[in-house]
Amino acid sequence: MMRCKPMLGTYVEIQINEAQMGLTSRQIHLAMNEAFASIALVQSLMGFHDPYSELSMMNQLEPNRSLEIHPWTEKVLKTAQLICQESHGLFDCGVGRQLVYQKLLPLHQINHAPSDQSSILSIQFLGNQVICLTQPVCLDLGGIAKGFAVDEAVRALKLCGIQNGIVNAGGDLRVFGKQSHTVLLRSPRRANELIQVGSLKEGAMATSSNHTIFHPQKGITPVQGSYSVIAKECIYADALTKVLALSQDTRHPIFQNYEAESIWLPA
Amino acid sequence: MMNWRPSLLGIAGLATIANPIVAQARIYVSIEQTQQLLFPNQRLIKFPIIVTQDLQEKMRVASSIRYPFVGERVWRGPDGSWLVIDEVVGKHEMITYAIGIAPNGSVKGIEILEYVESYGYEVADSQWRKQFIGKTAGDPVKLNQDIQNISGATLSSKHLTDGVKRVLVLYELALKELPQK
Repeated sequence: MMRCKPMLGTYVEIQINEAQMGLTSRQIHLAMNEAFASIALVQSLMGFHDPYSELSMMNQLEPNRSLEIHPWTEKVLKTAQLICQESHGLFDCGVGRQLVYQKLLPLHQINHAPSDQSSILSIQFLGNQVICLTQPVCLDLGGIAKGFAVDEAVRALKLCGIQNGIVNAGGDLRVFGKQSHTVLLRSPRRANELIQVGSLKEGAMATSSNHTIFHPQKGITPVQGSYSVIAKECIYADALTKVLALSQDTRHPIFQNYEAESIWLPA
Repeated sequence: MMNWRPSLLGIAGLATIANPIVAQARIYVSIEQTQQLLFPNQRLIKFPIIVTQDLQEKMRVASSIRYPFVGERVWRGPDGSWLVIDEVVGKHEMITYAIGIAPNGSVKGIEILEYVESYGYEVADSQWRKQFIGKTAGDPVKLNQDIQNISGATLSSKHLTDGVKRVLVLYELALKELPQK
């Protein structure tokens, strides 16, 4: 069975084969409810559009004040910081202000972070899910939180006893279970073309296009195209698409750290 | 263990396997299933409403959706909750969705019933739309037979957000004040 809900600014689709060992269809639906609830929680914690999300609280936080955050937010921030370091700043969620300037995000947050100084590296983790900032930030977790939400949805499904399925959040997808699944990619040249790029089992694939990505230091957008990364977990696939788009290097050393594969289809 | 087997021809852009989407339809849940999902154990009663020109105009202004709302697919629960089914049409897609509204007027949940995508036709063209209206998962049309897992730049759900806006205006101005039987 398949269900779909509008979440994370896109459509989140969950596909579960009806033949799950030992589960009734009602139990499968309840499992899907749990998965959607996990995604809703990620959205409420890390959404830029929501002025009361934890992300918005961080974006209004003054330096040297501390803030307690949810373990999921902490996990996303720590991963984002690690990938920022490993990519030498190519992936930096500090680009929120630039995205506001480009009208890709709403301007509702009062803070004083100049766009060229805001960086995920300004976050310090004090332990027990408490953070503080060394400088004001304007973070947007749009480049990583969707992948994390997909992972949490898969975790919720597995906890409910689901053995195989697919979660696809508007193109960031993860498949689990013994089956392999053919994955198609929308052509960057003609939207009506689907290109069969391979088959995937127990893994994740995320794709980004150029127009929502900004170089954290240079403020430019990458060359038009479709940038995809395959990794074990969707949080890594999602974040690494930005490294691929900005480095234009399908063999960037960071992919090895995550056993990730990359695909770049120029437009 | 993750297992990725790339299809080299596809990746090289030698897209001989390219699969032009003329019309791709995905059917998720039926109206009956939606009722069960949003209002489990409640008996909903069909409650079609006539949408006046004035109300239609107010819904248009609030949502910027120009085509009229059809008031046939509305249900009411015994406790004052509502289920409304509506459609939004984008340049290349048509989405049938359901909104559950709790007795206090808050959105209880949203489910997508159908997602139809098309290139080469204007989805807004009524002739094109007609062939899908009223289709359910039980119909012998070759829909959903080969569910494709598509990755690609994120599709925006903005149209649907507009749709939700107009249904909430409908609730505020028409459904909310209806007397309980």
